[in-house]
Amino acid sequence: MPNQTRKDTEIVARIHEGDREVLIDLYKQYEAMISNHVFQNSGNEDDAKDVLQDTLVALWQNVRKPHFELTVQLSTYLFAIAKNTWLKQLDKRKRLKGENYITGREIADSPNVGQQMDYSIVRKAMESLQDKCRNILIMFYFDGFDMKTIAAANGLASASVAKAKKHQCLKGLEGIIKQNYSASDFYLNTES
Amino acid sequence: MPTMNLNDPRIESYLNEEMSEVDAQNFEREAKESPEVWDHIQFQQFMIQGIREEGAAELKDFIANRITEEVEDDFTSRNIWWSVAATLIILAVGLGVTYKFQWLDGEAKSVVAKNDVNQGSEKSALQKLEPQLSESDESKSKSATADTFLMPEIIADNEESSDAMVEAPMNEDVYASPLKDDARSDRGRQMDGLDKNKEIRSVNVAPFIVSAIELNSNPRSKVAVAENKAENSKPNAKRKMESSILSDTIAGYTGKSRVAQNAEGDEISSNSNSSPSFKKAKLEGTKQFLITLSEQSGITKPQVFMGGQANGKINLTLWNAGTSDILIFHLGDEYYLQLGNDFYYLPLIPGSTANLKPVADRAILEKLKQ
Repeated sequence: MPNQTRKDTEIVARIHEGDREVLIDLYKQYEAMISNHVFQNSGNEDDAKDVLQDTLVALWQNVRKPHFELTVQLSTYLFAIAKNTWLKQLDKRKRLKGENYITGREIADSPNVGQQMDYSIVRKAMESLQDKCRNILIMFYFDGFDMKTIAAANGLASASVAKAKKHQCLKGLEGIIKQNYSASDFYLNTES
Repeated sequence: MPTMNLNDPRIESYLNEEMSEVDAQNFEREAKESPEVWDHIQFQQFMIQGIREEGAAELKDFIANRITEEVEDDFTSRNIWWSVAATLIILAVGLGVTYKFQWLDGEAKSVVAKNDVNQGSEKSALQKLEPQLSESDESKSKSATADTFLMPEIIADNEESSDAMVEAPMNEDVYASPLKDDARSDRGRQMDGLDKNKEIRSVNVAPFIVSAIELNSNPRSKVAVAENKAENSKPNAKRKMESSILSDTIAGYTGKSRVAQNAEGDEISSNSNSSPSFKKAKLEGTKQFLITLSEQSGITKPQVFMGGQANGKINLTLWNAGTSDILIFHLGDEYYLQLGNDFYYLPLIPGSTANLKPVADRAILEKLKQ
């Protein structure tokens, strides 16, 4: 990691530890840079805030993935995520406006093709879950914490107990969704 | 023939992205051969992505809330400093205004006190003079109240007016209006000639007018002065001499006539042979002084400041006179000042402050004491 500064290493370490406060420091540090990019590319203040938050969330998720390695300076990496996030947002807006310059083939090939599904169904169903179940599922699938950490954070006896609990919670969520929605509800209406 | 079922342990590894890319591609190919397994995997992926979106939304909320808190904290802390600064400014302005009002109030009281003194002093003067008048003979009384020799006013020892006048600082701004009292506009100029670090206090005696007594040739004027002194040299008697004019000729006309004037300058006794030009000369030769008494702490020697001339009267401020029993004599080319029993040379240099030098010349002293 020749291009990585000592500060970048510390930030990555803090993210690995699950320290969310590091994102606040990064927000303040890169706010001007990312906001300027958004302003210079037809964005406004709200867009800049959204892009900043999405960029930091993406950083969090990526760094917490197993085998993550930062090969460039953190600022470069963050700016790349921000640019990509804002481009996706602009593309989405153009599609909504009917500027169908992206071909059907491009959409099919796009890695974001999964966004065509309506995940708000899952989020609504999660509201019906117990708080502990909700926490366990988010800690495991979003934050990528190991079962030992999840067990400690949720007052469970061991990692295996946490694993069993996670399985139970996921089954519970599936039951809620299948009870309240049909398969056709899982997809967004893309005709508009 | 599909070989995979819903209990295949690889499904969990695939969903948790724990497989290598090659293993994942091989697994997908195999899983798609079983529609039930593939549907199950797709539904599981749908839920997992939904959970991740919920997690992302939660993290975004956390960031947004924390940033908002920090901005509010910054704003609050900045507001606190602004509030502190604003409070200090308001306090400073308030103190300044209060001080200014107290100052003005003091001056106003001083002016009111002076006016009261001017208006009420006749009454109090009469009250105080009553026993004196009863003791003095009738002729003296008549002489004192006659046009030729106006009764000086005695200022009542009013504590309130005294305090007000002592507290009142002298400032040209306060005296911006010339009013009727020319001495006021002179106060600022008086300050120029004095040590401003010293505490300056006005004396609770309103400015009064004293006419110079000509001693060059006319014995009558001296008699009148003597009468005047007898009436007004009582200890602690503070007075205002509205006008005391017993004028005689100026040096150039000595012996040719004797003329007495009242305050308006009207002749009350004149030589029938006097010419108009002679009369004019007499008026010019009679100097009138508007005297203000003041004190300055730290200085014991009497000082005099000569201000400008207004309404034919020379403004004089006497510092540390120690008495209000004051007479001015004109002898030869010099003017002399009598403070109580002491005689001083009176230098008349406009715009300057000077220490009063005692008269040492015996011959002059004798003439003055006559």
